[in-house]
Amino acid sequence: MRPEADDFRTRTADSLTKDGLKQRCQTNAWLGHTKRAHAAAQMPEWQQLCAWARDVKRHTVEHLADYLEEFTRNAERVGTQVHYASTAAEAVQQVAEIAKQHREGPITKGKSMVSEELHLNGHLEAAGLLPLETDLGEYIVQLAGDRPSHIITPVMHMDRQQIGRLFADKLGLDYTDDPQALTAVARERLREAFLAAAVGVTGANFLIADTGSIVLAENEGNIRLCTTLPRVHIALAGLEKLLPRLADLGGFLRLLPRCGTGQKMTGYVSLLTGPRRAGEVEGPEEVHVILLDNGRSALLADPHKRQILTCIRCGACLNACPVYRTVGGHAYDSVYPGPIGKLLGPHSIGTDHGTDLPFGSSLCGACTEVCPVKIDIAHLLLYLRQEAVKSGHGDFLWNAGFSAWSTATQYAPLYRAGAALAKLGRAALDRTGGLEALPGPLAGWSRTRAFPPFAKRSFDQWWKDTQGGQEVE
Amino acid sequence: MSKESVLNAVRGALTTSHGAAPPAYPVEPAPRSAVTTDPDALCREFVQEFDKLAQYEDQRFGAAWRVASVDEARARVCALFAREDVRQVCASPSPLLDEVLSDALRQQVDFTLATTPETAGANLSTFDLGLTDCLCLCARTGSILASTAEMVSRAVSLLPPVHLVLARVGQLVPDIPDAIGLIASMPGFPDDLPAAYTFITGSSRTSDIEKVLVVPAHGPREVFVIILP
Repeated sequence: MRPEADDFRTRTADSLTKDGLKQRCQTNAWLGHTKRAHAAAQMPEWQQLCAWARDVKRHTVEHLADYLEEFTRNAERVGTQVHYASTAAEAVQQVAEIAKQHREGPITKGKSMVSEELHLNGHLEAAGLLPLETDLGEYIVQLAGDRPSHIITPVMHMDRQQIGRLFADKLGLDYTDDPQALTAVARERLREAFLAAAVGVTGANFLIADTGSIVLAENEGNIRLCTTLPRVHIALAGLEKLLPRLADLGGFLRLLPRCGTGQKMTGYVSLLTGPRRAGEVEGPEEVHVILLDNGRSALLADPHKRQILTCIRCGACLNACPVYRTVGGHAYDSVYPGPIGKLLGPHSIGTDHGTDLPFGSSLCGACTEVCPVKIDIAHLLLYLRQEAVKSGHGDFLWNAGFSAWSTATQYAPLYRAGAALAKLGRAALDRTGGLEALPGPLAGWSRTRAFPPFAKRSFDQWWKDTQGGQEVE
Repeated sequence: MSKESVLNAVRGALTTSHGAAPPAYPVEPAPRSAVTTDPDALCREFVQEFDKLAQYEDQRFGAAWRVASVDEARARVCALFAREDVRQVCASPSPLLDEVLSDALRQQVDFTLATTPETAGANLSTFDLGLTDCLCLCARTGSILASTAEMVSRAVSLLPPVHLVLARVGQLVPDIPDAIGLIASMPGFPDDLPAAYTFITGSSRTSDIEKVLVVPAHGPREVFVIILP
């Protein structure tokens, strides 16, 4: 059974009571969704390109061990130090050990969802280190002691007034809610940190096996600063981030920005290969890549779920999802919210209690439609639901209801008998125009909607009367 | 050891299969619709795309100009220095820079080459303008591709509030995949890649607060490109 107090449904209900949250999520995510649609529509080869990207990523995942070894070999050849971590705790320890050797100044951080997965900031602070988020959205999240609600635009859940009050409180400034002024404050504060930092930590959008390179996409320039000024660069990456060849990158760079932000290209894309070369006067002297498993190999073990690891974290499925757009990212209580989070959550990637997430979907398939690597998200959600029910995670009423439904739909006489029973209740329902609340254990269903009156005639009867809808009445 | 245990876990996981053969690496390169290779058309597309990126409501964040001669390029640089009140310039050395930056232009400002630790990295944050050449320009996206090959500084295009790029018409390519192709055609590929390639597309920007576009975020506020014959 799902824990009642901390399930997705309860958190969803909480989110809906938050002032203006629903409106902000609707507006912002819908904007992202329409910008993506516009960008995709301008490329006639869009669907073919997505199919190609799917093929490259599925091939990569099926040969992941080989590509990991190829990447490691090539990265090490140019002087990058490659570390593997089975668990989040191991990765945290690896970062902390490197950072402790370079204690002067703060650790400047670029946006990285893997670092959220590790809860890296809290652990580094506990070790006496000073991690500082430098992406504006992540900087705001860190100041607020909050967590990101979207994998691309982390503070989608806050409005400018809330951010203005936060800056006034935490930074001791006069209140302003002007985005330009707030950004200028962050730029000034963080520029000082960049100039003093000895260690820069980033994620990685892609790792290139045949060159041993790290690819990073961004708009602000903070990731470039993190990988240019500090003496040490640490890149955190999930095992699935690999592309076989540099030649593949061109195709993926035509997809990722368009899907993530609707841009043809993000402001900056860096292709980094090893530490600074002999004689160069800038760039990191040490480059580390930490390759994180943390549940990914378990996902790999199921041939159906393997495709989940082809995700390039563009965020398009979040913006496309009517559930996400209504409740926002925090309701998922997972590092990865939205449809992709519902696939990763049950494997403890990003959350410790994600088994009920696959149930929080209308299965409309909008996520499947926008995915640039054609992950069949909707069917995978069904697959994960089946798995959850088989392992005893579905609740009693849900299971009983569906086994009754399943039986009824397989035996026509039984179904008709049920329909006849419904007729008995119809008279009562017609008088009241539907039921405000269902009795007993069914009350949950009618908590947020009325039970509608039954149709005057069953579909079966309508079909017979109209010769399958061919005769207009 | 972590490496072995992770790789073993991955290998172990991959022994289960659907029955179907695992997908092969796609034989065909990424599909794309036809593109022009005419330099004039590419140049027009680049300038148009770049100008779109550089304009937002009534604000301007740079410009791209195609010039007919070195003299015209010098006039553009001179006018830009005057208009932006540029006093301190740092530059990455390049043959194109030597050709365009006349002694007169160098004397107009406090001119430094970013070639020593004192004129690199964090020390560049006090300069008004960073000047670089580039590897190529991508017409479809309005992107500039720069690299650290031949000691080109990374911070010159990042820390000063204005970035000026010099390029030639012959450096235009249709789109990002062509630029990647150019990298792959460099001598020494894939064994001897420069430490950093950077695609630069417009000014440093953010829209994290209520999706309102703000320029600059952490990098330059303005980017200018002068395209010589």
